[in-house]
Amino acid sequence: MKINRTLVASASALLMAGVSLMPASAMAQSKSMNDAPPVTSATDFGPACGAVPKAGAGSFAGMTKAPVATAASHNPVLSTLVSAVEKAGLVDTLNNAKALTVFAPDNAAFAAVPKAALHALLANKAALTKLLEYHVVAGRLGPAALVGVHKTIEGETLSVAGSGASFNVNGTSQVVCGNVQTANATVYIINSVLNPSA
Amino acid sequence: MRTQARQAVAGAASGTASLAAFFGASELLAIATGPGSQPAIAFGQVVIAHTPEWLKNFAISHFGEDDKLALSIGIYVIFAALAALTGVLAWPGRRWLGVSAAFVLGAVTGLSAAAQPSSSASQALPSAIGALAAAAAFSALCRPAKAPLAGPAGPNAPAGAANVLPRRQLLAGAGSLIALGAATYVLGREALARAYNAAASRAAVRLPRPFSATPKVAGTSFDVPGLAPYITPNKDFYRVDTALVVPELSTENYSLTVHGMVERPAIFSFDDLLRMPLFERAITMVCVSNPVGGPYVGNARWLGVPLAHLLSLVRPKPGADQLFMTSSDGMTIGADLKAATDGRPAMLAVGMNGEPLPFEHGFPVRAIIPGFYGYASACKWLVDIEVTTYAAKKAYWVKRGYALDGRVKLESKIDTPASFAQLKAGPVSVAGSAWHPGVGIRKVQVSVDDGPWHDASLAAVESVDTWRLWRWEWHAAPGSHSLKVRAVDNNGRVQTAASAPVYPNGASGLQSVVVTVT
Repeated sequence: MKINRTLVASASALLMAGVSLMPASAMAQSKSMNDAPPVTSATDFGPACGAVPKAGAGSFAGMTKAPVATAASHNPVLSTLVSAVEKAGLVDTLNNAKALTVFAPDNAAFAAVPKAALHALLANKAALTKLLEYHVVAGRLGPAALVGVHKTIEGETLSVAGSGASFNVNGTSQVVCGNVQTANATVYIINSVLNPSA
Repeated sequence: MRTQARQAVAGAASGTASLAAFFGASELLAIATGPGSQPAIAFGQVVIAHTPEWLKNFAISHFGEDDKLALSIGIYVIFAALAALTGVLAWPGRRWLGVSAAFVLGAVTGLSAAAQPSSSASQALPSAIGALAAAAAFSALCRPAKAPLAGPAGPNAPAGAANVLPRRQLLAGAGSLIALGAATYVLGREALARAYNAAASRAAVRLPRPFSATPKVAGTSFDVPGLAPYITPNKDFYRVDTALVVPELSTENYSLTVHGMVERPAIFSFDDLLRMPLFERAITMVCVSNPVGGPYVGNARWLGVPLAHLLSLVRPKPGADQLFMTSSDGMTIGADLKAATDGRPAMLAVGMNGEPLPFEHGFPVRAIIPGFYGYASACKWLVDIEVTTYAAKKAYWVKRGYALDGRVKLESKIDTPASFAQLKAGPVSVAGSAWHPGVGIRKVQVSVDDGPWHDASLAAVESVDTWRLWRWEWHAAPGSHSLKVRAVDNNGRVQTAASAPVYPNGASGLQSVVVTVT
């Protein structure tokens, strides 16, 4: 009788221990059909981030998986920039670069450029390439590394000032939505086109 | 009658309790000797190996992918029924019957374990220890009571009652033993899973020599810094899938079910596949989501069973046109059945560049069909193939709008110089790769700033299923320049300049790279 009680008690204890181990090993084996979890927009900052699509390829989540030129092409806010990039023949170069920081003028920025000057620029591949390369810095700069002077692909430097969620480039261009992640580049959307010779 | 019924219950309980002792004790010992030595698993492998076709068909058609689970449950249920029956037959005066049955069980499962390929005598130990435990349990339950029974003893005592334990003690003892056996069994399984993880299983794989291998050829690459090697090392091979956690299967429990529109459905173990004739072929794989100039392309030597051979064993029926493959994580890949048997080296691969498939690349078995994007050919962690039609079933990516026709497009890329490279004026090596798996590359050309096309030098290739490396010597003048590449395949077709996105059937377009020369 005493032995039986002990047996029953120890059997119950072992059974409970075994049963509790099973979910742990089941979880270790679990697989999921989902794609990588989306980056939340909490990492992005700026007043114009609300203009970025909420869902789909042009959303923050969609852009993290795409290389930078493709990501931009899904984003209506950057459509003028994308057509400039295509005219300059820079799509593949941007998409296949290892790590970049891109200061991306939004459509409003290009709209502020006098029409004649803009058309002349878009027609001149060499000048367009030079201008666009001035908006690209090698390496991915997070917000913490943003402030300072950076050498652009074009060869000349730009300078970033500010802090927190408020940054400007060369003193005049505001970052309106920053730290946007794409597969190979960190993007800062700015509200005016940068000028290399300024 | 009541006494007989009570005796039957007592006998069944004791038989089942002894079986519980068998499984509990053997499972604990299996921690030391490995997953293949578990009695039920070992016996199950033997059953699978000797199952007649009609029974296999029945199981597969009724249980589908749960056929292994059904088999396991079936084995346990049959063992439990036999144990209960033996207990009833042996009760109360034929204790020797129960004890002998325990040893027979141990012998059958022990021999099954020891007879497995790459197995040893030690694999029988858990079954032996289990048999001893079962025999001891049955002896203990079926023994004469030590203390005198309550109530009248002597010549007036009920016949047979003096030879057994009091009922309450017996059932309590049997119940405890069942609980203890079950608990120990569960714990043993957990400990086994921890001790014998998939890594150990993979490390134990010995890949056989292939009956045929693509001969290695000299001159398949150029000595240019930044140019990818002809054979992509496993650690650098691209990986694109939807698995959040990489499946870690072990070969001991692995099985591949092939069913559907076939004459002879079959279940193959990993050892079954290794025993088939294997060949080794160099094949370049491409992901449909590879953008122009992108990194989702790689070349490796794959060792595996020719799909044509496997299909000849199961005999697809006329009308079938799709191999609907399922991965252990639930992904489905639909491949063209014709392509599996048209002479190209389509295979179920078990080896990659001389070692068992890495976990991220589909261990232990994956499909490879040259000339098709991975989404339409290359199921990793492959556990099920259903021979069916495209009309009847749609695989994962096809449901999401990717094309049924997943043929790889003729493409080329520039590895060096890199995007936005800063170069010195003078001679610059421009180099990269080009591919059209199944057709091969005849020519590669480079153009500077949309100027005339210059022929590049081509490296050698091991077969038409791999990419071809190329190089071109550019005399770079100062300034910003763009370099563009295109290829011509062995059918004379020139790579299209038309730009297409990744979706729905792969990107196309001529890659350009913008660089600065000073």
